[in-house]
Amino acid sequence: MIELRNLTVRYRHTVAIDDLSLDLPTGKIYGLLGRNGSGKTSLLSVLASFRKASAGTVTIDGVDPFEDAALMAQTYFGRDSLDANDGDRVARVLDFARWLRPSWDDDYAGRLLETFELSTRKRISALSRGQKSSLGVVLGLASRAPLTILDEVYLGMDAVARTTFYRELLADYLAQPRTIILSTHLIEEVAGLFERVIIIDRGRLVLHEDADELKARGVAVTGPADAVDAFVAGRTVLSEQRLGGVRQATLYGRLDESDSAQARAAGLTLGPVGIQDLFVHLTSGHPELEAQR
Amino acid sequence: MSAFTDRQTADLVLGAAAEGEQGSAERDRRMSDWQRVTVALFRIYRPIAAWFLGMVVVVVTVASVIFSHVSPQSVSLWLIIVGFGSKYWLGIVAVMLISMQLRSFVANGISRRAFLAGAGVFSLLAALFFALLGPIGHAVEYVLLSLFVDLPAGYPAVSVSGAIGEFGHALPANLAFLVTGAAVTAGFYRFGGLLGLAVMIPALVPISVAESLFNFNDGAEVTTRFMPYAVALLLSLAATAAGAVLLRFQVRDVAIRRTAS
Repeated sequence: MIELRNLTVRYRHTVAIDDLSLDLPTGKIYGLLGRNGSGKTSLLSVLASFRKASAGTVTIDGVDPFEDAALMAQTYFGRDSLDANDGDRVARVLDFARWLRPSWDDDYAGRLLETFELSTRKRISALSRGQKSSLGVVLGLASRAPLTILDEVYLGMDAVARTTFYRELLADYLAQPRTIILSTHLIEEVAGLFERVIIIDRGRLVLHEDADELKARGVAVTGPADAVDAFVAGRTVLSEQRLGGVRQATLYGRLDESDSAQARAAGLTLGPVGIQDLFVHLTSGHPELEAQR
Repeated sequence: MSAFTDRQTADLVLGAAAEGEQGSAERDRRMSDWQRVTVALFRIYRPIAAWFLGMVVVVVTVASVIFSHVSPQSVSLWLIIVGFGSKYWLGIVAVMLISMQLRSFVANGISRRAFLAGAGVFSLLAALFFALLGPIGHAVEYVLLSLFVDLPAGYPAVSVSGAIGEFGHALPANLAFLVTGAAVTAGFYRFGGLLGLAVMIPALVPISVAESLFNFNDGAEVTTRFMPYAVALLLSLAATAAGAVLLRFQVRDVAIRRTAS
C-alpha cells in the first residue's frame, strides 16, 4: 500500500501539492490526471524519491521511500525528459540500467528496442523527441520495477508507437503484475488501461476512484433532440453533439432506476461517458473539490 | 533490414547472447549499491582515462624529443605534466560526477547516499592511481632518458624517498581538486546561480589550501611551502574533509533536476 498523508510540496512561493492524502493499493494501473501545473510531476517525483516532500509523509508498505535503498531500487520513474546524458549512446543508457537495476530484463529490452526500431549506436542527442520517449518506455518496462511511474512518456511518439506502447504495457503488466502509475493528457487514448483514476487540480485531490465507477458518474443520452432536451433539463450537461434531429448529451451524475426507465420510455439510448469528459468537467472552472479516498 | 541489424547490435551490446556478460550481470546483482556505483564509474571513466593518459604520454614524448635537441632536460616533464594535468582532470571528473552521473544513477534506483559512497571510493582510488602515476612515470622517464641522453645534474633524481615525496604531495592535491570540483558543482546544482556562487567560497577552500601548500619549486620539483610537510598534509586533508562534508550536505536530499544547470 502506498500511503500519502498531508503531502505538501512547495517551490519557494508556489505550492505544487497542497495537503494531499491518498491511499494507493499496489498491483494496479493508475491513471494520474490533471491539468498543466496541477502538481502531477511533483507528486510523482516525491513518490520516486526524486524530491523530498516539504511536509507530510509518504510510505510504501509502511516505509518512507526517500533514500531507502531497497525501495528506490524497486521504483522506476520515467519523466517526459529522458534522464540520460545527451552525449551518451543508447547502448550506454541501457548499460546503466543493466548494471544498476536488479530486476532488469535484457531479453525484453532487446525485443522492445526492435519493436520501437531504436538503434543502440545512436547518441541521445541524435534521437527524435518520439525516439527519446520510446527509449524511456523501453527503460520503464524492461526495468520490471514493482513501482513503475511513467510521466507523460508518450511525448512526440507517433500513433503507431503509442499504440505499441499501450499494447506492450498491458501485455507486460498481465505477465508481470506490478503497480504502474501513468500520468497523461491523452486521456481517451489510455483510459482503457486504467484500473483506478486519480485526478488532481491545483495541487489538491479532486478524485480517486475505480475507473468503472468513475465512468458510471456520467451517462451519454442519445435520441431525438426534443426528447433529449426535455430529459436533460435541470441536469448538468458536460457536452453535447447534434446531427440533424438527433442530439447526444453527456450528463454528469448517476441516473437512478426511475430516471433510466423514463429515458428509455422516451426513446432515448443511455451509454457510458468518456473519462475525458468527466475530467474536463471536474477540473475546469472552479468546481467544489470533492476529495475521495 | 536495418531493424535486424540493430537487433544484432542490441544483442551484442546488451549481452543477451554473451555468457561472460551474464556472469558479469550476476556479479553486479550480488554487489551492494555503493559497490555497483564504484564499478559503474570505473567502467565509464576507464576509456576516458586511457585517452587522457595516452595524450599525456604523447605530449611528454614529443616534448622530450624536442628538448633533447635543444638543451639538456633538467626537469621531469612527466612530473610537471602529470602533476598539473591529473589534478585538473580529476577536478573535471568531479564536476561530471555531479552534473551528469548523479541524475543517471538516481534515475536507475540508486540512493544519493549510495551514490556518494560509491563515487567517494571511486574518487579515492582515482586520486591514489594518479598520485602513484607521477613517481612511477618519473622512474620510467628517467630510465628511458638515461638510455638516450646524458641527464644533467639538475634533473630530479629518482629515489624511494623522492617517489614517496612526489606521491605524498600529489595525493592531497588530487583529493582537494576532486572534492572542490564536486562541491562547487553541487552548489550550483542544488541552489542555482546566485546561491551557487556563494557556496563556491567554502567549496574552493580545499583547492586553495592544497595549492597554497603543495606546489613546484623553481627546479620543477614538488615541494611544501610555509610549514613542515606533516602539518601541511593535515591542514590540506582537514580542508578536503570539510569540503566533503559540505558536498554531503548539498547532495543528501537534493532534488533530481531534469538538466545539470
